[in-house]
Amino acid sequence: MNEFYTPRRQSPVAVLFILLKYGRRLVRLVLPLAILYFFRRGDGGGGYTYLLYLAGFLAVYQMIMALLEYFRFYYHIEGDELVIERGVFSKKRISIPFERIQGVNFEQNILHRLLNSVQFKVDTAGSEAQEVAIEALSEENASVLRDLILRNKKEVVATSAEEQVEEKVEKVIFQVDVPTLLKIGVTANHIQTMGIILGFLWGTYSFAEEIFQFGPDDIVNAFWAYVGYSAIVFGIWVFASIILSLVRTVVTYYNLRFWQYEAGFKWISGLFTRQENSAPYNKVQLIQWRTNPLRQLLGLFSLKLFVASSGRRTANELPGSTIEHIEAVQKTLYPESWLAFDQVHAISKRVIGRRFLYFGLIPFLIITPLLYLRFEWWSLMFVLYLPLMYWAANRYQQRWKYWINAHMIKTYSGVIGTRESILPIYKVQAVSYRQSPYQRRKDLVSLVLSTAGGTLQIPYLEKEVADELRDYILYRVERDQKNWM
Amino acid sequence: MKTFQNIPIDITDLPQVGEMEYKKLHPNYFQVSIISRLIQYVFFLGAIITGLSFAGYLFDLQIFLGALGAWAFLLTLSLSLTWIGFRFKAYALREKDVHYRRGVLWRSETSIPFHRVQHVEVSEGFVERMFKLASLRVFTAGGESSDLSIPGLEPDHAKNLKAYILKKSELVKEEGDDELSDEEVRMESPFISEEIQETSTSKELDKEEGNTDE
Repeated sequence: MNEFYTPRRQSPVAVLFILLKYGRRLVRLVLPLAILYFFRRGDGGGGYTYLLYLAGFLAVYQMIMALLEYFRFYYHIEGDELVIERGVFSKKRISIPFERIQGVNFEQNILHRLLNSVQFKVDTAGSEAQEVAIEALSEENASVLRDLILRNKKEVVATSAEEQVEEKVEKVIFQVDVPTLLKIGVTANHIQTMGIILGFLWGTYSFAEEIFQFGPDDIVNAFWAYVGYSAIVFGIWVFASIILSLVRTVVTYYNLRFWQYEAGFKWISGLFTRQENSAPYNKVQLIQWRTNPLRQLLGLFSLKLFVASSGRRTANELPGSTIEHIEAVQKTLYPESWLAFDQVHAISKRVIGRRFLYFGLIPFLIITPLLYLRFEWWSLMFVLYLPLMYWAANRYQQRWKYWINAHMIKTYSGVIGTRESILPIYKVQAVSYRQSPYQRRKDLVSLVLSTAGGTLQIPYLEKEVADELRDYILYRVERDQKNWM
Repeated sequence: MKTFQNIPIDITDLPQVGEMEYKKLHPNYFQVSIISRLIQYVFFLGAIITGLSFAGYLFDLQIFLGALGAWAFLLTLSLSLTWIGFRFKAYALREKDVHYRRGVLWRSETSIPFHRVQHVEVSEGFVERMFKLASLRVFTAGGESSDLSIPGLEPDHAKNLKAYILKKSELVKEEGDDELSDEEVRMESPFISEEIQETSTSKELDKEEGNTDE
């Protein structure tokens, strides 16, 4: 344990990671030169040989720099600070007081895992996004160092604030196994993919037209040929999109584990790169959970944490939780009395007409003539789009709800899927009104609440109601002495 | 008026943003925005001419005049929108928060409680300086969309506002000596009377402002 109190180098395997880092940088540097070299005109003369020399020189230079960086990088603990000394030519000393350390995160890519080492990242509270990372420590050393920092940090904080040191608790909130991951992948939103398919079919139609060269006479035959052809294409495409999102889900969220420690939440996931993230409770600004009809049948939700960290805003999406898990997260973050909402509020009905206009009528008026050019009277089928959009606009208004109590604001919305958000009022940084010309005429506003992690919007409120809300939120923010971070 | 009934205080008792008076920007700011717009459009014209000459249409009189006409049309439109925008832009201060509204067709109004202010800055752009004006920028942790930039203020006034906001946001709490009491600040708060800029107390505020610049 004492070895951490004198300056020490990283684990020797760090050389490899630093070399890799420099290697990537080198590729970026040399790439333009390489392109120049390969696309040289004719012999190019001697100038291009110099390019090769230059590239070679850069490679050697970068390698030496990488080695120097490893040998001149030291870290140790001094008093209540983590000290890092580094720099190839001029030595730089960075000392981070423990009380400013918000958390320690381990990151492992596949090479780290093969070599039993981790990248050691320190999350600081400074508003400047200065990231301190130690390229590679052995797993053992890393966890010893982390415990040392976190324990000392607690002592420092405890002695200064004279608070009780809490028991160290780590409790897994949820874990995602492979079958659940597969379900998540299959039930992902494929509508975007559908859009691509539509564009694709449009393209292939003109393509098919060229191949078969049909005139107006055999348009019906060609149409059915086209339908058969596109059904196959469609099938392949849907299959491909499902496989793709499956792979993506598994790679990103393989073995996702979400747990709580004494000061916040932590989660780790990934097939090749295992990344550990943390969100101290006080840094969580806004939480949101979503589902779509298919996932709802399976009882699956995707949880999103909006976190303020090191001056950055991050939104972390975590799929595969159930409503019980989400309730557990809420109860961990907020007292139970804060989560009691009674009076439910709706948004203005005028939003229906507007949404119908923007998403229904205007696209209809633009697309129909285009469709007519291509499909003639078949394009009248598109009229069905209008009632569909009217239904969607209506549903949007009906499902949009919000609640407010003395401490929290909660929203619920969604046409097909659902999205719920919950925000403690004291986390609000600014309140804004947005008004379109139409909203101004009808005395309506959209209310935007900005936090250090993300924003929450309540659309189409009557001005009078919005005024009340804004005054109340500003009043709460001003009254609440709680620290938002 | 009582839409939100489970809230344990009566909302109608709260100070209301709507009631408060918004202050318009300094009249000279209109010239500043017109000149900034004109500078933009001169660059825009330069870009058009460069584009035309690259495409080889520079000496085609019809196309050149057409482009020039479009440019002039956009310029006129943009200048009249600047006028509308200028007339709407306004700011307001209350005891606990600062507000700014802007926009031409789509309008927005942002309110920042002093408790959430992270940083206040007085800046003078090149054109602004010619008209002896300054901008006050108020930053929060809520990101760019929630930051305020109030242009068209007299520099002294901007500094006073900055000192007032800093004081109210308790960012300068440590400096106790020449701190004004709450009552005094309220009396001198810039939205009650503008004359205070001429009085001696504004110098005190300046001093305080100087201290907090570090």
